[in-house]
Amino acid sequence: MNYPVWNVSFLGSGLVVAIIAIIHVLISHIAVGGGIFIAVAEWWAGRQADGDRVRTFLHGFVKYFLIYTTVFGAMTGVGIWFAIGLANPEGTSLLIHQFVFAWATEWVTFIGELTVLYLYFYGWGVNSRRMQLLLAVLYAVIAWLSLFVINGILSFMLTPGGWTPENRDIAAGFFNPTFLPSLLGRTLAMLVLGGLFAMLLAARVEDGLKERIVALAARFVLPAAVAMPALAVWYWFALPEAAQTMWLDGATGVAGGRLEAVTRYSWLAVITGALIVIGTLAFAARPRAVTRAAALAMLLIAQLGVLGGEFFREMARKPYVVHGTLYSNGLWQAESKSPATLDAPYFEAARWEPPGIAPGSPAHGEWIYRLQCASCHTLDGYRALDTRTRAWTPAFAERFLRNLPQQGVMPPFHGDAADRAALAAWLISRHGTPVTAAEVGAAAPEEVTR
Amino acid sequence: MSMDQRFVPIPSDAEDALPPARSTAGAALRAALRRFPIWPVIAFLRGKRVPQHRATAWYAMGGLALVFLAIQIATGILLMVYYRPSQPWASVQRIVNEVPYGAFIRSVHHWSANLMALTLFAHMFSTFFMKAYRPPRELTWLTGCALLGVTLLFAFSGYLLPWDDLSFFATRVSLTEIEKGPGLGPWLADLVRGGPDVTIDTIGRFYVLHVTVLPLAVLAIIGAHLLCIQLQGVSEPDRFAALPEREKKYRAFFGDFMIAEIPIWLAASALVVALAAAVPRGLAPEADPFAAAPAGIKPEWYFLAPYQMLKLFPGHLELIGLGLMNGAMLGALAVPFIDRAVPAGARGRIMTALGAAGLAGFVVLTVWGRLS
Amino acid sequence: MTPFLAPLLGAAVPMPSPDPLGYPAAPAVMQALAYLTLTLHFLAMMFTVGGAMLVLVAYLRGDRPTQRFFSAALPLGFSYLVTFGIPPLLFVQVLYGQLFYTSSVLIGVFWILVVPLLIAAYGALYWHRFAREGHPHRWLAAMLAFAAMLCIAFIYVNNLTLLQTPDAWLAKYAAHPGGMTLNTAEPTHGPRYAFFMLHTLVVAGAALVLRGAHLRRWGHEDAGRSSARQGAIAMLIGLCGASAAAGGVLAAMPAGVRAFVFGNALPLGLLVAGAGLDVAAVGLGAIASRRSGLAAAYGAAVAVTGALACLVVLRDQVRGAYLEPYFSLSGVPVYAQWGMLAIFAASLAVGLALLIVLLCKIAPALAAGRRKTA
Repeated sequence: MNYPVWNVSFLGSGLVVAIIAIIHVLISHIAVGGGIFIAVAEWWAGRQADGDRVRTFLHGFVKYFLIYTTVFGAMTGVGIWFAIGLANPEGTSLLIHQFVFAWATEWVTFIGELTVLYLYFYGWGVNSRRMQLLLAVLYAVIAWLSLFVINGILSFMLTPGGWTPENRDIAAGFFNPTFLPSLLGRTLAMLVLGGLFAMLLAARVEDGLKERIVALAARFVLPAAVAMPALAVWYWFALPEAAQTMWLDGATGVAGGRLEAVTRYSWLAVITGALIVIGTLAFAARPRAVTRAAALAMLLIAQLGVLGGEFFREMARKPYVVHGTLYSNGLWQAESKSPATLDAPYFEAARWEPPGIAPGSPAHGEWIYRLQCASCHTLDGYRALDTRTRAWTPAFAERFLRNLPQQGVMPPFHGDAADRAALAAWLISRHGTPVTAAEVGAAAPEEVTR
Repeated sequence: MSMDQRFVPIPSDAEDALPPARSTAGAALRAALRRFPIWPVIAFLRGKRVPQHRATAWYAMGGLALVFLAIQIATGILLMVYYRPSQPWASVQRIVNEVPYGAFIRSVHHWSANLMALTLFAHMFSTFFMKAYRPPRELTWLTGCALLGVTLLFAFSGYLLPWDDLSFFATRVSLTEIEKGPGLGPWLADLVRGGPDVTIDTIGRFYVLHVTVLPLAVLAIIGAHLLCIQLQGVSEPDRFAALPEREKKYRAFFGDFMIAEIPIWLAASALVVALAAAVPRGLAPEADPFAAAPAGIKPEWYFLAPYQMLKLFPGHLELIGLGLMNGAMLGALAVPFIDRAVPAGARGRIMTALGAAGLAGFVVLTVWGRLS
Repeated sequence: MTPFLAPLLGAAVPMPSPDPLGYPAAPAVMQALAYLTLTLHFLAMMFTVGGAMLVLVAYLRGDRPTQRFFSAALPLGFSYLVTFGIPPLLFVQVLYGQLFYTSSVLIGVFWILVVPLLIAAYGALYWHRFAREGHPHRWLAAMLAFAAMLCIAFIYVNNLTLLQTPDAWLAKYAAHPGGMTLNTAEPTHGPRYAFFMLHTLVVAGAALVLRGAHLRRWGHEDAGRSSARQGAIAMLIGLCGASAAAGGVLAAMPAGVRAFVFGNALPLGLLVAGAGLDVAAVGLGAIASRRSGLAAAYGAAVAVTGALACLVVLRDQVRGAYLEPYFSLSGVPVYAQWGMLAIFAASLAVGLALLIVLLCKIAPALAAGRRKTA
């Protein structure tokens, strides 16, 4: 409305963000957890009789770690930023303007992480052991701080806490109700993922050393994975009530338009967590058996778990991009409370429809879809409207659009009766039987009086 | 009679291999071995090993199929609790809309079935190209083919059970094809349907098939299949067998290979859950036998290849299509009796080429069927 | 609620409202930070892109030492070009958010394409770095990285020129709501892109000059002289090309914007100073390639950095002139976040201090390693 909406056919802009994000989340967690593993392993090497063998392993580890976390991790991180700016300019603008100096501080940690990691990697065989240990510890600490900062912004979106658009209380928004459970939960996830990544590289190490590294890595994974459910419960109780209701409703299917996806994804996260514990126990029982394929399979489980967890978090926020403040399609909650704004003709507020659209024409409906619906729904792909409107009749469509928020997962319709009729007519006509906006408009009052 | 005479003595090689008697595990294992004289079996299994070569990854397929089968049994039992063959569609709708996690369990069942079929195809073609079917492993191959057949019957019978638009018409179309078969065709079709058309009686038949007959059959055949593998060991491809003895690398089957398989099984389970979460199985409107078939009705992907082949031979030529299909199935069974030479000779190479052509044909027909 | 929806202009040009929650600090603060970091970004970017170009030349000439130098340095350059690219991108979103998000969405498909291109370029540079020296496909990796970086720069120029020409927006969006369009029809687009890409040679050349000076200092006389000579030639070629392209940019500008550049002391001064510093840099590079000693080489590096700083500020001034009918930073609502600014300043100070201490302790030892193997 304020911004043009990026119309990505089939995928939808949200899924573009999600695809980049789930890759990034896995790698960024590995980047911190792996950093902690390097620091512990550096210290551990100092206490081993064959410490130099361990350090040689670590050097090889860091080479892959460096390339993997910078090429795929850092670039997809930038990628999320690109993608959210395209998918939700209004929300991205809010996050940037409210938290610009938090982002800038985050950038300081990036510069620090990168430089320290380079000094550690290139300093192998040059720096003293104490300096290498110091660099490894510094890297782990700075990397964790980067989590600390981003976690405040990310958890703010779901639970803005005491922040409101009026008070602009950054501290209250940053240290919001899910900040701590999220920070601690992600820290545990990082230890799990760092340990699993270490196992992947240990799979290639010669027998003798391999068992010990796998055992060390298992000590990263198991306690963290076992402690995770407690954090998950804490996090759950910190969620907005609307999200909890949505989750509970999701236990039983799709009847009444309830969104069970949020529940399904949460179970994916829970089940993968349990599978990781089982797999790691198998590795811990017989470290010698670890192969690259097996370790990759564990990382695949972790990737699917990340998918479950992140989709859960994103969907629990529906229909908002910043909970209670800004809807996912760029409509401000405050605006939606004012009937004078909400029920006014849509194109008075929208800025991006081409000039000269005839009222009630198919173009009228199409451009309402583009500017108001397309930020979440595609026509025939992800969250397809064609499937969702297959059984629509003019009367049902009119009533449905008037009561959108009753779904619990959608913002209210922005526009007047003519807008609703135009959109409904356009959507219904896509199924093969042309319907005019006038026909939809005529069907509406009957339905109301019934 | 003294205590000791009632117990089996523990063999000396077992004593060497077991954990110390002081440890809990050691004590428990010894107690078991004193009661059951199974050490020879354990010793035999301990000696089992898996050759390590470039195609080793394909050895995982059989195990993966078993994992999917286990998921099928577990979720299938849960679905049976609420499924009513007398009200097929309504009870599935209840599972989807009212039963807690019913939709989720059903989606897992659906995805695991698809992945099981996919894995079995991969298993069959990989053992085919590694030529693991040659003597003395004919029975392993035959039981494997039977398992694929039973799995496809599972899929076919299970697909009808929700009794929605899609499943009803897809089943009716498939059974009409069977009816066209010469000789026993019409009789067989009537037997399966329980009459001249697909009705609620067909549900009864398919349900019994799906939850009693086929499960018993699959467990029995899997038992035979696994027994063959355990008794005869893992087959070695020619190129590996030709290596000098010291260059051959093996891993212990139970100690190392299976432990490293566990994460792969877990990943497969996670994949099923992820697919069920991301792409849940829908339920189309209830089947209406008197309505026109909805446009674009097609069988599931694993039946697309034969379906497309039948479409290639319209009218009277249909018999050719049926003949080709049955010929391919019989040919697959005959493979170990035609190509027997180790290492592979000219026949072996021809068989590989035929297999490659078969695989290519299967893929092309499936994609074609999907797109057309 | 009116401030939420208050349109800035009439219906002719759709202009999104600026962020309704206001600016987190005076624009000048963020402009200063953006200028500083964008200068560093351009420096790293031009080193990396120009270096990729020079490494390809080195493959053509069979010049192993230059290949080796850039192969080790380019992944590092790329890391820092991305990292120094973050703050300017952050501050442009704060300062000109409503323009920037719009222009990004309008070219959405290409803008998101930057991400896989970044991964391809970075991955190729690392592969190039760790592949063995005689690997037959090594030059291909360098080529791939170079091509990917050229594409990224191209997309950036599209976005940032579209940002400052709002009158092109509505027609583009009506025709391509999926963002499958670019801004190549904009008259300054071509010369602007050419300028940035050609100027990379000046920076990468200066790096070779510096390397040459150090090699000579370390006693590798021939290698050092050859490196410095190559660098000086690259700088000269880059300067000639970039000057022509800069002329093209000035010629293609709308007359009003050109009049602003030539009619005001600040932009004109920046233009003259930037050009002068660039010429001085090339001159110092030429001197450094003939004489031994570090002074001229470092002088060239400092001069080229200064030229980039002038370019950065001039660029923002010109953008202001383009946007003059639509939007101005003066008078935007500011709700200053002093506490957050202080936290950022403190973390920056601590971070920089830490890195400087570490570099002082470690860099000499690392350089000593280089000195031996050079």
